[in-house]
Amino acid sequence: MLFLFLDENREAYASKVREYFSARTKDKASRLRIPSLNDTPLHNLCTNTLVRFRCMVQDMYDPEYYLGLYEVEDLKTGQRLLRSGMFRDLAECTAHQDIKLESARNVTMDRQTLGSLGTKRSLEDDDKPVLPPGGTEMETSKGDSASTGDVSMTATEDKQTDTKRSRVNTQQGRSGPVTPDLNFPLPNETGPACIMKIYDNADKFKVNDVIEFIGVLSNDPTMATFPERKRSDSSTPVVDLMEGVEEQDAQSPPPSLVPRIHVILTRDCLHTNPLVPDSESYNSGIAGLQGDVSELREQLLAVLEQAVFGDRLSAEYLLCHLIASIYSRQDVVAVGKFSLNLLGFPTPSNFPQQLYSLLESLVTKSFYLPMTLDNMNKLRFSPKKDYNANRLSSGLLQLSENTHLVLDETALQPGQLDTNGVQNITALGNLITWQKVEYDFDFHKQDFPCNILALVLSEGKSILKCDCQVRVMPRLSTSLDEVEKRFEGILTFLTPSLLTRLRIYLSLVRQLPYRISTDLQTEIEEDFVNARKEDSRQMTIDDFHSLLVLARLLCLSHGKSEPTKEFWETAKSMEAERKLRMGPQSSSTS
Amino acid sequence: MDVAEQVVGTNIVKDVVGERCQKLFQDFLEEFQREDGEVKYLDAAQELIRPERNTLTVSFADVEMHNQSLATVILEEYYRVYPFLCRAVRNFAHDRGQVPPSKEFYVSFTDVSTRQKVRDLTTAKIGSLLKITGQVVRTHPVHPELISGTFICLDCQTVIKDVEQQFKYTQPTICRNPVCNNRSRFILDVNKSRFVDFQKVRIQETQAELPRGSIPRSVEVVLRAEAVEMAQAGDRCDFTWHPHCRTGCRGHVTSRGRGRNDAGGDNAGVRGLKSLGVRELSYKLAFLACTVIPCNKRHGGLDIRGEDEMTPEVIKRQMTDAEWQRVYDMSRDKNLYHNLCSSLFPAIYVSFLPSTVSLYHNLCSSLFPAIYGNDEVKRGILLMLFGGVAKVTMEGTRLRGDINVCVVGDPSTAKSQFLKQVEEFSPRAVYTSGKASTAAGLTAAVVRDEETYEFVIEAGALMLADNGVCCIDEFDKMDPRDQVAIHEAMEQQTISIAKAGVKATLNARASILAAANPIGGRYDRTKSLKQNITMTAPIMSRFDLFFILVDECNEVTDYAIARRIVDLHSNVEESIERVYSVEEIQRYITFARQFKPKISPDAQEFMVEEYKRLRQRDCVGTSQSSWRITVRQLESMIRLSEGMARMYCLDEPKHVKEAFRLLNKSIIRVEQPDVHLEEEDDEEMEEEDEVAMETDTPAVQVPPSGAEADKEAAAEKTAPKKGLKLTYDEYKQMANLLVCHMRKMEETADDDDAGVRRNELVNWYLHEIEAEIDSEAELMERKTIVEKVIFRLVHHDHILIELDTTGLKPKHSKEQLVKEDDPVLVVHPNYVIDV
Repeated sequence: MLFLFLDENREAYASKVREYFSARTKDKASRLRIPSLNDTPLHNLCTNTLVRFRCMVQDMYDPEYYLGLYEVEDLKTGQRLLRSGMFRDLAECTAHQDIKLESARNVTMDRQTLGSLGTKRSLEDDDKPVLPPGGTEMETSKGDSASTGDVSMTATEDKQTDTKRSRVNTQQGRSGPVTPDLNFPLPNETGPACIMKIYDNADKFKVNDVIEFIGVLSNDPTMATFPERKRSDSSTPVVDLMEGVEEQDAQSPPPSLVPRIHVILTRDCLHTNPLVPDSESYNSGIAGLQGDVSELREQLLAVLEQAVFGDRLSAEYLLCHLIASIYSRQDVVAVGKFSLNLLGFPTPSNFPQQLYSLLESLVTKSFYLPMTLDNMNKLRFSPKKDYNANRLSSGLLQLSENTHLVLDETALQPGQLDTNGVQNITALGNLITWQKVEYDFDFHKQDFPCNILALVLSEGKSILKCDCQVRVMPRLSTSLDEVEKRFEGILTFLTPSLLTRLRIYLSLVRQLPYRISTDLQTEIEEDFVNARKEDSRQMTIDDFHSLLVLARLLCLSHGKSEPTKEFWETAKSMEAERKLRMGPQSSSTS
Repeated sequence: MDVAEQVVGTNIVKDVVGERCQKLFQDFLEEFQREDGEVKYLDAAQELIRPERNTLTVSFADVEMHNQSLATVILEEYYRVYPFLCRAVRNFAHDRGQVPPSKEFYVSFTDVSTRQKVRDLTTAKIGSLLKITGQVVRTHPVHPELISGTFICLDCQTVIKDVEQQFKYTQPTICRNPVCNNRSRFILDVNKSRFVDFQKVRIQETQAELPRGSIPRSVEVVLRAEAVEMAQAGDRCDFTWHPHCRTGCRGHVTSRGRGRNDAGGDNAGVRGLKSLGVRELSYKLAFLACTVIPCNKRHGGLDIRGEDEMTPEVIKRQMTDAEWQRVYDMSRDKNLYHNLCSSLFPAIYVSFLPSTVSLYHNLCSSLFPAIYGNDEVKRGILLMLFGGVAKVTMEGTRLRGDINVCVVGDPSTAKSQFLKQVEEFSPRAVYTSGKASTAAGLTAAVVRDEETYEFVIEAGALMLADNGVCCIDEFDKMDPRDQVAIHEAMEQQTISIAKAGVKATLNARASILAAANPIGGRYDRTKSLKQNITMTAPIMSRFDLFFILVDECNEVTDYAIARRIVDLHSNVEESIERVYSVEEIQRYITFARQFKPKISPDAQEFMVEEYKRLRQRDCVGTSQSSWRITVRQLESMIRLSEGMARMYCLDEPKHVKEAFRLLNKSIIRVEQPDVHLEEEDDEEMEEEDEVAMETDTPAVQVPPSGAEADKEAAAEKTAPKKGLKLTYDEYKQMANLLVCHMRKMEETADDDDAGVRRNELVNWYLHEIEAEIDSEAELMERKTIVEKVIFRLVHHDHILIELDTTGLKPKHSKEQLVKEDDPVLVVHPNYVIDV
């Protein structure tokens, strides 16, 4: 695949390669012919072949310098050849050839490396008709465990991580002492991790982006480093002796676990829902959906209504929450955030878990976090730079866009939060208020914007300041048996085909374009001013923000791109009812 | 052995360029003179005699001045000519003093102009001299590094001297004895080999250079000789260096010996199983730094606090021409103040302001939502970013230059956004919430290290914000005991710890920007500031400025806000036009902060006067003052005017008045928080043609806001013509005079005639002050004033009551009143004159 290359201009070469491959992967069918690392076990793939990989950028390593051009001398003929070192880790050199390392014609180049974590489902899953309910990111897949071979794929426990990880890590004993921590943000998450090597424009990637890469797989076992090799070899540069073992482990994990991919093409992923067509056929998808939007909406609403004890208002809010997303940022203000606090759940119950399993089956990526004292005190929420290993140790909150974070506050018991716990609560608060996660770089902290939807389930008002608080007014019985039965009913109602359509619905409406007509804008503005005239306390700027967001979400949930006056009125009445339920005191947050 | 020596000679290829450079550089060292005619590097070279010294630091700017072509060669082929330069230094030192002939000397360059970012380091830069700034994140221990080995052949005992070592242990390829074919059995003679100190550090991209959403990159730097131990983890340093390619270091390296004349690419380390022809192609870069200069100041970047030695000129030199031009233009901008404000906080809209703000600076900034926001607060915060000059008294007491600001306000008045914005904008800013932090979290805590069980000091938010801004949200939610803990930090700017055997005083030179909610959630305007917030007087007095944000309902602003928010939500991609970009402001602030304004005699006088007046007013006690005017307020005034001067890049404050106004505002707000008195402030300010920032009318008697705005606008228009000026003191004095007179009249008068006609009162007053009046014009002026005062007393302060001839019906409309001929006035029976 890689041919002799004499052109010294690397950019031109790289772009030619890119053009060649992009021309051949234009249509979906040909792209699907490329094996995907996400669901093909690694041992079924050949090194130096083209693969696809959809992943989240977890860390950005330092640039790597390599011989972009090197000279090879044929020992038999004495002929000297120039070869390209791009898109490969190992030099191409047969037994009777010798690499001229001191050749003046060698050219050193640099490429960027990214640490990335695979997302479970990939694009062509839509060819497979049925997905198991709850088949979300976190699920350990059959393929993964198969691909590990004799080495466990699962992450080793962090010292401070909870015991949940060890459950996953059953293969540990068999796999020998050293299994590198693949650095997944969420516990019990597995999936291939890769090191991507980027040849151009590496700065366009941001941390936590979800991207599909197409590139050359490189997992030659000879790249592996083994502990016994680390002894001070006489030819090892003296500098290297001081390099920490942790760093070597982190920077060059065994290629059988963490293959390298030399990236040729990249494609941004708007969403991670495999059921939803990607951008090209996107519009047709919307058009196809348009017909039964209202039906789907009703069905979903009915399901949610059943789930929240028959409370229609809460169900409406929950539906809006499911399709919320940040759509604009103005300095520090994230517009469109809609974290929801459903309160008034009877404890103890396993209702939060049940609700979560329902939501999990609907959305593409979600995570359930019981806010127990133990979890708050022991888990690491914010990612932290580990200077020993020179990498970013992931935290729970390092999540890709549109992840649904379900926080179960009913699990919280009175007790003592330690320093870590307070920091974690603060991190959650910042996430909800500013949609930012603070990454700890030891010497300074850096905010990274994120787009994570938080749903807080609590008994009373949550300790976290959510954008919207709804008190659930149960219409149906809240006894455990009844609830159990109802959820069973929901499960039977959600046939696989309906589930698929609901999933498509949720992902699609979120992406709908949205604009407010000038007339309505004026009307809304007047409404605001008049409301303030009446009582400025009942209509603060924050209230206005939430109203607009709510109106938007209502409109989108109906599959419309432009709200009408009705949506605005509905939003207002919903807010009014919500406030009524919350009581006069807690109408707004500051 | 002699035979062997000759063999070596033939092996070395002569580098003509290198030798030429050596000569030129030696010439430079010998010839380059300071202004006074002394050979500049002579002293430094003689210093090198001392055993612990071995590096000569040369300013690269000098080399450039002396010989441009030499400088170019050094810059571009640093790696190649470096040994020759060192040799030149050695010769130079040898000529000048008694140094042992075997001693190695090194050269290090400073003042290299080409500055690179960590992110810009590509292979194209290999081998050339660069300057780079980064934060040291990891340091390794110092090791000796073999630079020149002396080997003994184990077969024939031949001594092989001066085997050049580069980064790795290199044995001679073959014994020099022609009859001995030993290629691998050598032993190093440690005593005859030469070593150099060696340290590896890792530096990371600074926060300021980091593109949004990226993880900082890092590079490894090798320090040698005198440069070791110069950098500590956490320092920000300038490195002068050259990138140097070195082998992939993750595993096996197979390599060969090499001659010394290849410049640039070092041994291409290739690992893998060589016999199979499998080799990895990747390298790691090593950067050999020759100079390390710790710098916590940075040009053009986020660090708005320069070190003391920095002068504006230094900063100027570091800027590109375009950047400098921009800074220059900015300093010339007449509306700088306003533009900076609006650029800094474009998205913050606060609803409480009367629309007079838009009249303040006749700017095109109607685009800015900031227009509707609280300009006063922004100005205060802006001045805080510029800061005053820190001073040290003769006794060695440090006077802080940092300005502390507190914002008190209703919920949803964007307080948090202000804080967050400042945190985003300024470099060493820490955002923390009072609710979530304890005193220990804010100041410093002594904690036991988990591994070593030793006590270590853990820095709190204030320490982390040293030389920056510490934003404390929900200040009032902090435990009062914890508030006390930051007393010291706020005034002395230090934090003392005496706990668990650790006793330390740490620097916390931070400005504090606090936000607090009033008691009961809403600001109660019938109460004083002090009654509105849970803060002790000592804490309050440590804030230079207090601002109060009240969620006020106003149709005009409400419309604007609604418009803005709806736009935001309807995806109208109307980006906010800032007059200056954030980077420009940052650069400008960095630059402006280098000025050390000194107070001119005029300004001194003004300040003394104003201070005296404030003091007097305080003593007279016309109000239940929330704090006493103390020296602290005088200091605040000085700091604020210094901040103003810095903003305009002046060496002496010319804007004392504005500083005083801000302070006055803040103090008056605190001092006379009662609604009736505030009303007066409004008038006062109108007449000074200043923006009335006060929360205007009391909620009970809100006049239609449009009318209010009109009136104020009218006042603004007319005021300059009349040149009216009435301070609160004068107003109070007049009021007292009038009331006293009326009381007296009431006492003496008959029962049926229980009041004074307005005209009579005016005439009486004018008669009273007859002596002070010189001209007719002045008389008219005084008359207007007194009429206005009476108007105020009647309609806002309710001290006087207007009696209609028909009965007790008070007048509602102003226009009517002005036309009203001559109402009878009486003093409110409950009014007590305070002296």
